[in-house]
Amino acid sequence: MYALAIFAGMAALVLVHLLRAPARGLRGGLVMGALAFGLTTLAVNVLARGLDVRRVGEFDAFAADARTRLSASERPGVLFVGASFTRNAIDPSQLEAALGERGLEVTVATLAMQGASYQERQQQLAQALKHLPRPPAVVWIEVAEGFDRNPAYVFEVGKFSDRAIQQFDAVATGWTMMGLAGGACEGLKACVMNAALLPAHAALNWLNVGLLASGRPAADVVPTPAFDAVTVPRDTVPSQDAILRGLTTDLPAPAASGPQWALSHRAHQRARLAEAGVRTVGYYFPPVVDPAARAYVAGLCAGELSSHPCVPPTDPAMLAALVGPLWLDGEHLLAPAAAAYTGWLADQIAPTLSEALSAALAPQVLIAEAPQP
Amino acid sequence: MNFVAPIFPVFLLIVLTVYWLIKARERRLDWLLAASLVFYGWWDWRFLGLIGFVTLLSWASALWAGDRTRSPLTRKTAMLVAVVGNLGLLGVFKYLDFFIESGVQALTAMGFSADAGTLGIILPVGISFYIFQALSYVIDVWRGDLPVESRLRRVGLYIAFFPQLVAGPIVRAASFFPQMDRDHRLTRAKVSAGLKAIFVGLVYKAALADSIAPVVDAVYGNPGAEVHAMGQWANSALIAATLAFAAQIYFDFAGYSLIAIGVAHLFGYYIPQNFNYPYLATSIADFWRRWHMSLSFWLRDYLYIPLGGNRGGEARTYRNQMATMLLGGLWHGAAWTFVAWGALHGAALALHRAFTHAVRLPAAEPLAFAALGWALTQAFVLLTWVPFRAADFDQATEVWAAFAGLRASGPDTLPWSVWLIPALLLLDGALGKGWLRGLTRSPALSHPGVWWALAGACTALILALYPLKPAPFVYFQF
Repeated sequence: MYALAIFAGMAALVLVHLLRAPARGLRGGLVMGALAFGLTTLAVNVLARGLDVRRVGEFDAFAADARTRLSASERPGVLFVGASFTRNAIDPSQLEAALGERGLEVTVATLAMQGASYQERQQQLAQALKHLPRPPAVVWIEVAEGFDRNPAYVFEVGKFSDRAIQQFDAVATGWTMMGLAGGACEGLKACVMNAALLPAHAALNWLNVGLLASGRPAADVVPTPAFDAVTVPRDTVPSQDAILRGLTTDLPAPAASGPQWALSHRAHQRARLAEAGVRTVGYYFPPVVDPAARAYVAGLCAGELSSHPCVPPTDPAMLAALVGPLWLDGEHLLAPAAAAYTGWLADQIAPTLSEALSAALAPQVLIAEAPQP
Repeated sequence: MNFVAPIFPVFLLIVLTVYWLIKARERRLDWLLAASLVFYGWWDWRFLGLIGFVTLLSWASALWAGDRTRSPLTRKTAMLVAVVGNLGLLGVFKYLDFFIESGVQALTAMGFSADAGTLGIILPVGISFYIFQALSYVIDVWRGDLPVESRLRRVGLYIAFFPQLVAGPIVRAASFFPQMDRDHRLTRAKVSAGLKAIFVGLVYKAALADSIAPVVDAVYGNPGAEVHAMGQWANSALIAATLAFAAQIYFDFAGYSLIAIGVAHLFGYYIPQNFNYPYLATSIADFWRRWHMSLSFWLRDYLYIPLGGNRGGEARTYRNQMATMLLGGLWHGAAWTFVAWGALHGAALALHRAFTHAVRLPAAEPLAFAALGWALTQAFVLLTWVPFRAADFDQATEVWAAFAGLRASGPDTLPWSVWLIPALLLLDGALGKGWLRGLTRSPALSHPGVWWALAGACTALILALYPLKPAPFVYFQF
């Protein structure tokens, strides 16, 4: 229980003891009640923001670790932002060493959490940038079809949880509404469900429900490395035949764009990062068994993201190295496969990093327009 | 379902609306009984059979125990059937596993090979409370303090009345039955008093107790979980967590009681106050007149006095006092730590009695004396919360050692803000006892607009402090 919660508790105690039987009649009572409710809600929100108190969870622990890594060194930072694909695929220490061998003295960190929607990642990214002494030189952002197609992805991993409620601030709610309005959901049932859940979560966020009960300053969170080096596969892991078939199938990937909301969100995110002083923004997607999911990102790299560094997981040699009992399930890598992918990734991103570091010019504005939700 | 579950306001609104729409008194009682059974069955519908059996047993026994045309022996036998039957149920559901385990441990300690599995009986929610209410009814009827009630549904409503069903306050039959005969009307005073009690209860429970609970659980471990190692915690953390627990259990239980009282008010019923700022008590006897009053008075009237009370000399008084407190401790839970807690309080009450007999205090205590009494009482109460909250005696001993500075301190500490938690108790006491009368008696506060503004601001704070996963009420486990 943090000081803010205790002081709020004291205030509630005082207020509730002042309640006395009211005189007859409403006399504008409801308006007064609503006004007091609104002002108190706003005050709690402003105070919590000012003191950096938020509902913290596992993602915040990973974010704290990323901040610690990037702050601990004077070297340029390279930050990977993603979901569970990234948590299981990129070992920051190994990647840092591999880049060092290529003459690129950088600090690598990952900001990744299973099931993290684009909006949640953006919140964590903004939070991290706020607390870093200097912005990372390069930020790599994971893109995936599942997140592009589902702006309310958080409901897949938890409803009415602290994590889900924390996510729906005004900006994230706006992006999600934009996505849902554009038809980005899988089937009528999911659309109706998400359309009902969104306002409920947004209301709980705006009303600060539980904010002071579980809220803590992000600075108090104990850092935990995001990289998840798993060695035992899940029961749901595909058969070896299915893995071989999936990794050796190469679907055509015509240049494409994501849904409008995702496209706009990415542009908005790049603009925010440029404002924060990040020189280069790149995109990537760790390998998965499903060839269609790989092809989707390859299409984005060739289309919507063609003017940005983009690393799709479509290199046949790299995929061939992942054939075998190297998968946690169809979408996530076991530790030996993560080592193989991380080594390959170092080669892929080295030119971009080299260019970004050698440029050492004023922050480069990547996108002039910053669309709002 | 409990009072802070999101479904409860919906349930309450439906039950209240229908209740006040019904004009006939008996139909209202039927509706309340049905709602109470739905409320209780929400946890586990199988428990409805148990509460049904308790009701039938108590109703039938009271018909015989209260029938003046029967012989005294028959009436007493009927009363004893109810007492033995109800306490037998409590014994089986609450204590059987505990006694099996204790027996096996004792035999093993004596060198015998003993191996008996426990039955894994689930403790039905609220059983300790409604069985005491049922006993109160039968005993009062047998004593002639209350007329016998021939209508089963009325006895059923008394035992199952949902506002106080699962965690009290324990309502006396003599207080409740006459209220069923009244034609209740919804008045502004009742609504206002009910809403205020609910608001205070929500602040206590949802805003304070549940926010404090994680601090206590972090150090002591989750209630009912495996024994929690405390080695990593600094001595200061153990002390702070114990202080936090003192606040948690008060806000939790007093909060529940106030919501119960407030909800009952909305139906036109009065149920007794359960707490009177116990942390302001200046002696241990004073503490027990302020803490869980409905249980204290129940134990006094149905256990201490029948045992002889303070009649029969000092030695018997101390014996009766100790027996009452030991059983009171065991009532709280099937564990020796609760028995130890009861024994410590029994010993303290005996000591207090001996002291007040030896030293004649003036009618008006000097302030310094009251302050010393307060400090000693609260220190004792705090130290005895340790076995009450600890998972076992080893854990309790470790916390006591931390208080005494006899334990090697670990590295982990709690945030400094945790030390502010006792200030919540002091503030609550100050406000409740009118120490800030100038503030609370301002005429402006009776303006409806001010009432609504205070209620609105308070609701906003409750929501911000309301945990998404509320901690279960501490007294539910009892």
